[in-house]
Amino acid sequence: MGGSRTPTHAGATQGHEPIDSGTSALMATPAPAGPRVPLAAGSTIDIPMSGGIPYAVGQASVVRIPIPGTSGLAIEFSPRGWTPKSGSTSTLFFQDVAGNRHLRLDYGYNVRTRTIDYHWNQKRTFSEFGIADHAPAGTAGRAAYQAARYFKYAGRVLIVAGVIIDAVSIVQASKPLRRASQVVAGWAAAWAGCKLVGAGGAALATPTTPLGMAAVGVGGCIIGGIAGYAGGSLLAGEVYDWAEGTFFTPLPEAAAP
Amino acid sequence: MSRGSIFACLDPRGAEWQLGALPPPAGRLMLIGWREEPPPVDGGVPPPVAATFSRALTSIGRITYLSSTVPAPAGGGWPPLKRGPAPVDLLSTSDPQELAQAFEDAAHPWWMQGQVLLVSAPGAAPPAVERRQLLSLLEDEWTSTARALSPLGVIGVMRPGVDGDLAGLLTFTADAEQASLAALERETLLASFDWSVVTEEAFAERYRG
Repeated sequence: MGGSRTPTHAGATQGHEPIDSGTSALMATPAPAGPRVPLAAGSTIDIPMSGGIPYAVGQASVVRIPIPGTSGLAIEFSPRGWTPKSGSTSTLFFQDVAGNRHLRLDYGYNVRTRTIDYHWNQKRTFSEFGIADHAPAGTAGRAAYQAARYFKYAGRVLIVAGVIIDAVSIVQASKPLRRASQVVAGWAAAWAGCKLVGAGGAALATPTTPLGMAAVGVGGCIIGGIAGYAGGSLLAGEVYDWAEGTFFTPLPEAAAP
Repeated sequence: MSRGSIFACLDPRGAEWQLGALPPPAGRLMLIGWREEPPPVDGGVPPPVAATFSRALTSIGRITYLSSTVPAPAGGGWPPLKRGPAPVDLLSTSDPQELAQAFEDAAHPWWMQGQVLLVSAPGAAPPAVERRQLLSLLEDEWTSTARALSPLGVIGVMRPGVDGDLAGLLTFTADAEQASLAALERETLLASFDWSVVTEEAFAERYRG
């Protein structure tokens, strides 16, 4: 007995096609799914949220990105030591953990040129970068100064946004403990990924071009952070599921021979 | 043969030195600059210049400054200022070698204008300065607030100027200013640097190059 069937797939227009005569049905069954229809205005959808990307991008503004082969220098956007209430006039730093050795991109009066310009200030980093104190930074330095200035603050906003999104995702999750494990592992792995890939990027750049080193280092930090967050979250979820589905049965005690 | 020069400018007016509003509302401020030959590639105060300043200042009196050296070797029951969100430690000394550390302390970086040196009369006790007073000396209005330290026995205050490339010395009396100039000249010449007192324009020109 011949008939017809209705092929159904998402977004397709329903139509009929003949079914070969060898096909028969004992009972009528409904199609597995109907055509996809757009959501009505105001309806909600349960999409898993993650603050991974804003968090990973933002953390590059606060993490010390190590520069291999420089005896402890790292890329940062804030100075070490005391800073005035109005903030530092420098926005990009290559410095050790104490701030004793540093190269910083500064804007202000330059005693060498007797003008207000973008210039480098440095102490004990000449052998690494070949840049003397008060060397003008040029137009590239100006662009980098402004980019670093805005990234420093935008990065902090992104971190807060990422943390808030992750917190909401924990509250809304069907398994909050599982989601919390994923978030915490994601943050930790994002930090590690940022350090690792950021350091690799900084090492690739030529030491005599600090602006290139900063760009590649920060880019590597962001990529490593995103990958780290995704990997950490995935791993934490797997571990949680394994632990949740695993039962340990105590062995019965046996009398000593 | 001279290895550079140390020079002073009396009554500067320029805002580019980043030493607050000039002239100061009270007392007199002098700029103190230096130039080594050959010019160093590093910022901050070169060690020979720092040693010269230290000897000159300690010959005037006791010097009190921000320090991350803990415990303070000259403590003697003088408590550090640890009220507030972060500790602020002061060290008071008459030892020029100890004082030279003030120009190299990364926690209170001279090169980021994060250091201040209080000059007290010889034999005076360390000034009982309050945390709020001390921190205000690191801000732009420092020449106004520094005057309040005079009753505590402070006769002068030294602060780094723009990028730590020069120093500003504020003195509250004519005697203190003269004593400072004499000490700087004596120690500068002993260290084989040239010494001169120049106009503000000549002072700025010394740095060019």
